[in-house]
Amino acid sequence: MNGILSGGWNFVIAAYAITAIVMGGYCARVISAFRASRDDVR
Amino acid sequence: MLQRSIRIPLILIGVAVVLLAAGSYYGLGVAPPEKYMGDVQRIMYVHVPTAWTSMLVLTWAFVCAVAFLFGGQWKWDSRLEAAIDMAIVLCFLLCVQGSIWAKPTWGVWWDWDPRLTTMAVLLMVFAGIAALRYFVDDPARRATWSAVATVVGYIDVPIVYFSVKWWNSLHQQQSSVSTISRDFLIPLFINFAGMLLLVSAVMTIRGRTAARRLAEDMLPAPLTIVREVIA
Repeated sequence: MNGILSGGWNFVIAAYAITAIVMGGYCARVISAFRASRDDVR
Repeated sequence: MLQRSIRIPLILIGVAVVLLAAGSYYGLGVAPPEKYMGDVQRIMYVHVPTAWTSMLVLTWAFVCAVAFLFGGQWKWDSRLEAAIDMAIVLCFLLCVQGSIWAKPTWGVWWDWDPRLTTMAVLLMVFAGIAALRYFVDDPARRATWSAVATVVGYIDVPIVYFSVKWWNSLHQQQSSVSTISRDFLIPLFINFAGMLLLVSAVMTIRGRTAARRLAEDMLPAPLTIVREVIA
């Protein structure tokens, strides 16, 4: 125990992956909802 | 033709993805590890841009709510709906990213620390406002009630921001840009630019969808029936 963290790449990858999945998924949902609403208007 | 009215937001999303890829590459592969937290500190390059963007989105939601309440223009209600949705996504991400960072540094996934607690409250408040919008059918009541709730809910935003200064918190206080190494700032600002661009573009598309649905909701009933018959 020296107060210095070592390793931890799994936490870093998890944070980036979850952010990419959530933002990517929401972005895709918003675009598909826009297309569906456009089809409804037609 | 289908893409025409969202062509610019789609281009902005493409630019944002490039910026986020570049910022993440710099943050994960080029920037040095921090002296005490080592590689775990690299979570900062995604967590801090998310936090800055969420504060801006929440402030935008407040502006939309006030503009609707005082101006009464429906475009502000559509923009408010988009901002509420995005605020929920960003607040959720902040809690998850913070939790992942907390485990290796604090030894726990979650602590009822002032910053974490006020952030969780903010997430619950905006999820509640989204639920309110979902369950109220009348457009005028939905818009007014959600705008008032947003103004009230926004009170928590400065509390979240200053919580680390007002109370003893495990969460560190805000750092000054002048004390951060240039190697840390470059990926931080590239990712912030990318995140801000992405969120702005997605909120624009979401706002247009909300405006269309609002226009549908406000059609007189007989005309709606006629349209269904024609279709």
